Amino acid sequence: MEIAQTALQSIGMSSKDPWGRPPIHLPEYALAVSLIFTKATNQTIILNTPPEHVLSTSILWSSLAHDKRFEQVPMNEAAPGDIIIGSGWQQGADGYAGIIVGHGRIVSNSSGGVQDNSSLSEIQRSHPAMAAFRYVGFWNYYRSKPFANTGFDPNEPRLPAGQPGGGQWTKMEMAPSTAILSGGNRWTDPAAAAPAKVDDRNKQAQRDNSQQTTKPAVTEAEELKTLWAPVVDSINAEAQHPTRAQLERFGKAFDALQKYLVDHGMTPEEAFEAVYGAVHSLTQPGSGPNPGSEGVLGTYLGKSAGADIAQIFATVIIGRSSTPDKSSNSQPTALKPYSEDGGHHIPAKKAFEDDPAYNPNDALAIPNAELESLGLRHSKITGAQKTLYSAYAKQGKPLTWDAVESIETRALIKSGLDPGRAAATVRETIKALIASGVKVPTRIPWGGK
Amino acid sequence: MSNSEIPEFAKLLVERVRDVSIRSCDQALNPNSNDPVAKRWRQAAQVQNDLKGIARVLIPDVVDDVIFNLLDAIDDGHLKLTFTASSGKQIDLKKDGLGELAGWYMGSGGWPAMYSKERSTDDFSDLP
Repeated sequence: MEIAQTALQSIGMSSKDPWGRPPIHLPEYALAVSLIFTKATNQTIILNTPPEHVLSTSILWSSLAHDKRFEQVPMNEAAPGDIIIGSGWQQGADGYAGIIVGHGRIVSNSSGGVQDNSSLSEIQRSHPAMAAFRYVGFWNYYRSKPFANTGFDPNEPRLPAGQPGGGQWTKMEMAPSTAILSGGNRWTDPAAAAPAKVDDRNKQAQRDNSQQTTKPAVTEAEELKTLWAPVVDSINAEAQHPTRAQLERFGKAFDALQKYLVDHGMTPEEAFEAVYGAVHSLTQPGSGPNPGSEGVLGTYLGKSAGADIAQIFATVIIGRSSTPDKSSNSQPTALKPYSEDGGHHIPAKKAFEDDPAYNPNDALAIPNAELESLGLRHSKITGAQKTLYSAYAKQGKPLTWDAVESIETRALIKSGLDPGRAAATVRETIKALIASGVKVPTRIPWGGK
Repeated sequence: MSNSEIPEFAKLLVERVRDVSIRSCDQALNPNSNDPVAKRWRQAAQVQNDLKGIARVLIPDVVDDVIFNLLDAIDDGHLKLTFTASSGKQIDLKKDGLGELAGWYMGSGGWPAMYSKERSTDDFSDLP
């Protein structure tokens, strides 16, 4: 109930657009939810994005739908602490976000700040397309994993060494533990939420490339060891029946380590899998960092399991962070007026060409050199923009700043840019457009005349 | 090539289409790129064990990139081209294409999906 209680305690809090953009016509619903969530959990609601940067309900929806800390629940099962979102993307300008606090009431933003200002039934009537997301914390990751298993059988056969998955247990389905959620919401029985499947060979190739060109730095390794230690400690303490405090400690340690990896260039998914892989190996006897074994960690990172965990992480990190463009994921990419180095207009210039204040040569673009450095390709960004704008046009609604922000951010993410950087980049360019006198988008690109 | 216009066209075509496409495809070889094509190529290099298998993945992506850059050069007004339809009607590709031809080609359900009889990949089918 921590999220619901924090929401109630936040009534009256101001949550204005920190970017000083002129109000469009709706309160910053996503921002209020973001600030309350962080206050309640000490985590960011969108990974790697500062709480005050969460301004789009559609991006929030998209993020929670892919974030393993959350699970989507049917609206008729929504409970106190759940986050409800009506996406601006799906509903044109009418995006909405709030937190259920009990008795069917919702705390959300308003023109006068955070208020207990509506009921769930009212919101559902006015916003038929809504989703409810429940914060289930890190433990949701591990319910079906070996170290969360109360029925752990040390005599269970394992795959022989030297073959794919060698050293792993032969059966992976585990009995659920008596989990206590770190987030405080009531427990439901979610489907096993395994991490998204990745092409291990592909990832391996990337890591091999990183490892061939760089050497780990001692300072990085020391930092990682410092972050890793509490993860190990909390795992050791959890045993079979972890207390809530133990789980929270584990969650925070895991979070800190994952954030560190993301800050150094991994995607959230890669960071999660890296940390999870390490945790997994640690909790399987005979695998992981124990010398001489072939554990999941070794398989995952392409090193012998005897290698030091921090060194392995550091190798990966240094490899990634040697690419300057990924050094800080919440910062925008380099941006220049299009006239200076060409590149790719963000947002699409066709959305503004009818506005006399808009000059495509002065408008900001990701310059060619930056595109090259980031591994972004003009063709794919354009393809993603076209796909999203065309879909939006079919709704028959005018194009809003909120929709532009959502579409452009998603297009950059789809093209391979880190989500935090994508959001920051789009926000920066929109801010510049507004500062240059552009009032509103004048047409929907690829939406017909 | 007795007049000066053809060399001018040739120069623009090479610079704006050929060279840009080569640089763009080179970017897909960046091991840190998360571009859908870059990922597909890396996967092909891992999964396919012969040149033919890898080339079959690369060829349509390279062709699409070249066509995209041709259309982009038209959209941006660098290559001012007209098209004569079977009806005899002539159109200005930039003006009548609203400067959006490249997007119409590359986006989900784009021209390859509509008209091509050869293999193609829709990298945006999960959007929106």
